[in-house]
Amino acid sequence: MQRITVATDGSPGATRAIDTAATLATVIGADLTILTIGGSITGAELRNLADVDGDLSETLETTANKVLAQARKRALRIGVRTVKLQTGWGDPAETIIDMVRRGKADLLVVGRRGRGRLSGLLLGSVSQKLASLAPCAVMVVP
Amino acid sequence: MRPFQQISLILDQKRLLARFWQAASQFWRTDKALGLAGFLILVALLQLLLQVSLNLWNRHFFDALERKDADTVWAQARLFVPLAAASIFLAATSVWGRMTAQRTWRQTLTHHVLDRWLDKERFRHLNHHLTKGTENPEYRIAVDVRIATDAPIDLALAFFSSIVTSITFFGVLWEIGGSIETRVLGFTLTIPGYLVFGVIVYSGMVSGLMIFFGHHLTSVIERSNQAEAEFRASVDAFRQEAEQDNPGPIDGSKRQALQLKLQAVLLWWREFCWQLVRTTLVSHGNFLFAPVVAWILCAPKYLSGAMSLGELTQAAAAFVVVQGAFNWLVDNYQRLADWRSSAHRVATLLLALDELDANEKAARVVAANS
Repeated sequence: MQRITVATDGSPGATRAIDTAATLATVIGADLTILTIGGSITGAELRNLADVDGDLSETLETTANKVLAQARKRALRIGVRTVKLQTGWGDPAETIIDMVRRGKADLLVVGRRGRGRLSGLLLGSVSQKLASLAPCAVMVVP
Repeated sequence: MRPFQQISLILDQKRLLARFWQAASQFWRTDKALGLAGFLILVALLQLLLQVSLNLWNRHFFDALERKDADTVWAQARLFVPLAAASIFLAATSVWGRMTAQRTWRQTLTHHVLDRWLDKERFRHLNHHLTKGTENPEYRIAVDVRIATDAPIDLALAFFSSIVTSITFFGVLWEIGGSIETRVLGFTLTIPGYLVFGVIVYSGMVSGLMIFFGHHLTSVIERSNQAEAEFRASVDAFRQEAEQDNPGPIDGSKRQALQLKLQAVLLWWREFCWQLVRTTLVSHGNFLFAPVVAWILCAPKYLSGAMSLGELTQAAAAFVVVQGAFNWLVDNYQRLADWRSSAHRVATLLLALDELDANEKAARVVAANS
């Protein structure tokens, strides 16, 4: 196992997934890729942006970069030597699967529950979709 | 929003609108444009005259029905035909007038912007002068100019009609409604022209609710339109780059950049949907309540015998007409926002061309002096 990918949205569940993936990568000496799917913004934040003529793309990028930077810091503290960061946009499950396929990951690590609780209840959670559709082994961290 | 941000945003928007109007007003200084404007105002006034006639017809028809006066009922039924024919003719004439004015205004403004863009090959230089917001000039010239010249004529005519309709039908409501007496805390209170008072209170409430529920709508629509334009520009730029590059796999970062733009479009669209849901609560509620409120307000006078059935229907119809006229802003929220974003986008392009012009002049002066 040489390439481990972990997905994060900055939630506590995703943070636990990063800890697990980083520990595993350190122990077996695998490369770690941390990816996030951008685009999570509340209606109130959007309305505020609309009022100040703010740049949504820039805000989304900044938010995604912040999530990745925090995850990277955590992984480095655990002992991973190099961390690759990636941002995707669109449907979380589909985009993660696409990115995992392109990155040829051997293992995908995800948290059991992210931020989208309502979406999870209505549509089936991202982790459930990934567990059944990902092209590699999937570890779901509780 | 911080006050200085708000002030700077307002100043920026004022500057853009001023630049747009500087270019767009050229058309309105011509005799043809003034003639068309006069014609449209005349048609709007004739339409108002017919609206008043139809409102009166309502009264006479229902009064005749109440009296079971068959001769008058049939006479009124016959009178309705020419009134309806005139109304239909004027509606069609108004469409012709509006679209002719819109077409000629668009023609003038498009020629102006196109000439400035093509002149001295500025379209080449503009590509290297990408101030944010000048992307996709083709779309601005073809589509934004159309929207920017289309909406103001409809909006201005609707505004004019709303004002003259409100004033005229206030008279109808004042005359038919008269005053009403009501007891408050043991005192008898007389409200003169109570239907006018009622329509103002009711319309004020509806407009207030609409502004409360939809005050973000215009800015959300503007951002949504802007995001759509940026997405279009990104796809276009991507295609142009791909055509120049050697065939091969698509760079992942370029794909991500496109998806980011798409994400922005979809998020604005989601917010636009919620804004429409909120405003629909008010607009549909108003659609159901307005006629009923009118009937309820007239009911005490009708039940006391102070108002005939014909007057009741006339007053109720007048109430709905005035209330509709009051809703001009509410009804046109979306078009106003579309117009504002298109006018801003045209103005941004014009300002960029102005800047290119200024740079060229400065370069010539430097060359002449050296």
